[in-house]
Amino acid sequence: MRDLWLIARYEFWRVVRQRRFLFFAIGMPLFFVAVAMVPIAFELLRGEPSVGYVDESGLLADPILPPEDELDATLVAFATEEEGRAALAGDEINSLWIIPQDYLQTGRVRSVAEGEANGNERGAIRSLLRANLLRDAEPGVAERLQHPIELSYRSLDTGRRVRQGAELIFALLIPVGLALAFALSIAYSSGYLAQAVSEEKENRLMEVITTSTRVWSFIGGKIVGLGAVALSQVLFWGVGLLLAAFVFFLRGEFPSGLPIPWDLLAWAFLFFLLAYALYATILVGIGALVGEAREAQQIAGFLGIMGVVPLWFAPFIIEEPSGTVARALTLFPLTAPILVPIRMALGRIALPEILLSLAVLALSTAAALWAVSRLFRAAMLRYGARLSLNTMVDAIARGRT
Amino acid sequence: MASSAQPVIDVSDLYKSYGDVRAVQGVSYEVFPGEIFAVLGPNGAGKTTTMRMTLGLIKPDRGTARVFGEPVTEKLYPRIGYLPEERGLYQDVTVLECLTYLASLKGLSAADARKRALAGLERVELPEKANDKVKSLSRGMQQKVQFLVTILHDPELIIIDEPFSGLDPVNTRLIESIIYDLAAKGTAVVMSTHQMRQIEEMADRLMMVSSGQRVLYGPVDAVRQEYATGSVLVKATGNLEALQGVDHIIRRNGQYELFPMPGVTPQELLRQLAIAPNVSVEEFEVATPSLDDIFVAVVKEKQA
Repeated sequence: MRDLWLIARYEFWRVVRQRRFLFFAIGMPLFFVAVAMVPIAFELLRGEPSVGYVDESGLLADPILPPEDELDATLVAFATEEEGRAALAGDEINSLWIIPQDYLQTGRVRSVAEGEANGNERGAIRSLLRANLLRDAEPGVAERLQHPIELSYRSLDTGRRVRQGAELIFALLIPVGLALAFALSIAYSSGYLAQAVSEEKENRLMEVITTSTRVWSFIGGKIVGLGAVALSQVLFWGVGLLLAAFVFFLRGEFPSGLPIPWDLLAWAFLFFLLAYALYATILVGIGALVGEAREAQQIAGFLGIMGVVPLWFAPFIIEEPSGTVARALTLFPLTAPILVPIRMALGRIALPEILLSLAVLALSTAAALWAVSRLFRAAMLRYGARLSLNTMVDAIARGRT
Repeated sequence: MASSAQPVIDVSDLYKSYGDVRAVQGVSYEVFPGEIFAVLGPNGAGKTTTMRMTLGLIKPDRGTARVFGEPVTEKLYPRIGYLPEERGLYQDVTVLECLTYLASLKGLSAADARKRALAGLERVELPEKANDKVKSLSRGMQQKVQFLVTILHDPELIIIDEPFSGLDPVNTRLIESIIYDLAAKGTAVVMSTHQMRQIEEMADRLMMVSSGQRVLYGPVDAVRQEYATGSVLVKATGNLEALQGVDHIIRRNGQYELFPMPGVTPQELLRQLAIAPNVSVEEFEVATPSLDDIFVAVVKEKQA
C-alpha cells in the first residue's frame, strides 16, 4: 500500500502543477461563473422592478397585498392612467397595468411598458389580483383554490415515493450533473491515464519500475493519483456551480424548501467512483498494450467519448424508467453509474436492483484490474511492439510472460 | 569473491522458448557476494532473457532461479538494483525529483532518498544538474543518472546490462571505480557487456552464452588458460626460424608468437632461445588468448 500511495502522490502532483490542469480545472469554471454573473450583475444593479397599476374595476379599492415572499416586485397604485404613464415616462416604474371596469366579467388586463413586461412583473399583478379575488373566501378554501392539489405518487412496481414537479427536477439535476461530471472526468483524464503508463514504456522505465514495486501497486497508484486529479477538477467545477447557484439564490430564484436527496447523492457518488475505477483500469490497459503515448491518447480519446454515451439513453429512461432497456442498462457496468441515479431520482428502482447493479460493477472493476495486471506483465517488456490476440488471451488465461 | 559463501544468485537449468525460438536452453550459474560476474555473448544469445528470468520478470518454461535463496518477489526488490539494457528516466521532471522518486520506490524514505541522491550526484560529478530537467541532460549524463538509480538504495546485488554504453573513457573509469567499491564492500555485481577489456580487467568470473546455451563458465583467468595454445610471445632479434621444437611463427606488433610442436612446453622453448646462437631475447611471456579471441572462436565454433 505504501508504494500505491507513493505512486498516486507522485502522479497527482506531476499533473496538477501543469498549466493545462490549472487552466481547465480552475480557470474554466471561474470563466463560466464570471460569464454567468454578468447578466445577473446587471439585474442586481437594476434592482427590484416597480409595477404600477390603475384600478378602474373597483376590485382593488381597498387592496389586500399578497405576502412579500410571493412578490418579486414593488406594487404602486395610481389613480389615473395619465398619472401612471407619467411615472412610466419618468422611469419611476417598469410597467403599468390597467385593470378595466369589466375585468370581473372578461378577465382582461392591459399592460403598458417599454417592450414586454418580465415574469416578475406579470407574477406580481397576478398575485395581487388573486389575493383580492379570494378576499371573501374561507381561508382554507382560498388556500385550496390557490394550490388545489398536493401530489404524492408511489410507484406500483417499487413502492417508492415518486418525486414530482420542482422536487423531481431538482433530484434529476443530481444524476444528470454527476453524469456530466463523470463524462467530463473520463474525457479529461483519459489522456493522462493512457499516457501515464505508456510514458514508462516509452521512456524504458518498465523494468526498473517492475523490479521496484508490484504491478498492482503501480497500476493502482496510477488510477488513484490520476483519479484524484479528475475528482479535484470535478470539485473545482462543483464549487463553480455552487458559486453560480449562490448568486441565483441572492437573486431569489433558488428553489428554496426543496429536500436534498442525500441517499441519491451517496449512491450516485459510490457508482461514480467505481465506474471511474473501471474506465481508468481499461485506459491503463490500453496504455500498456500500445507502443507509444500518441497512439494511446488517440484510443483514449475514443473511450473518453464512450463515457458520454450513457447520457444518450437518458430520454428513453425518463420516458420508461422500468422498461427492459432501462433494466438492462442498469446492469451493464459502463452505463450503470448514470442509469441507477436517474432511476432513483424517478423513484423507479428498488434496493435489490441497486445492490445487484453495484455488485456487477464492483466485480467488473475487479476483473478488469486482474486482467489488465496480467496483460501489463505480458506487454511491459515489448517496447514499441503490440501484443497479438493469442498472446493476450494466453497472458490473461495463464498469466504467461 | 568467496565461493564458500551462500550464493546470492543460484540459477539452475533455465529454459525459455518463444514459439519456435528457443531463447534459453539449460542455463545454470551462481553468483557470490563481493564478486564481479560477467555475462557475455553475441547479440540475441539469450543474455537478457536469462537476466529477466533471474529477476522474475519472465517466467521460465523450466528450471529455477533463486536470489538470496528464494524466487524473486517484491520482498527482495529493495535488496536488488537493476540497470536493464532498455532503460530510461522520467524526462519532464528534475534529476533530483526523478532520483528521489525511484529510490523511494525501493523503500527509502523521501528524506533519505533525497540525501542519497544529492550525494550520488556528487559522486558521479553531476551536482550542478540536480535541479535541471532530465531531458536537458546529454546521453552520457543520463547514463550516469540511470546508474545512480540502480545503486542509490545500497543493494546487495546489482545486475547491470551494458553499463558503459554511451560513456566516454573518463566516465567509464568513474563508473568502474564505483563498481569496484561496491564489490569491495560485498555487493554481488552481475555485468553484461560486449566490451571485453572491461571483463578482462574487472570480472572475477564469467559466463558466456551462445544460441541460448552456456558455452563458457568459470574464473576469467581459468577460461583464458583453457583456451591457451601453449604459444609464447617473444621480443627478440636474430634468426628464430632455426629454433628446434617450433611448429610455426607469426609476427605481430613487433613481437613473435612461437607455436610449439606437440609435446613441447614453453619452458623448453625458453631453454632453446637461451642457447640459440645470435639470438638476443628482450621479452618472453607465455601467451594467453584475449577474451576477444576466445569470444570469436567460441561463437564460430558454435555456429559451425
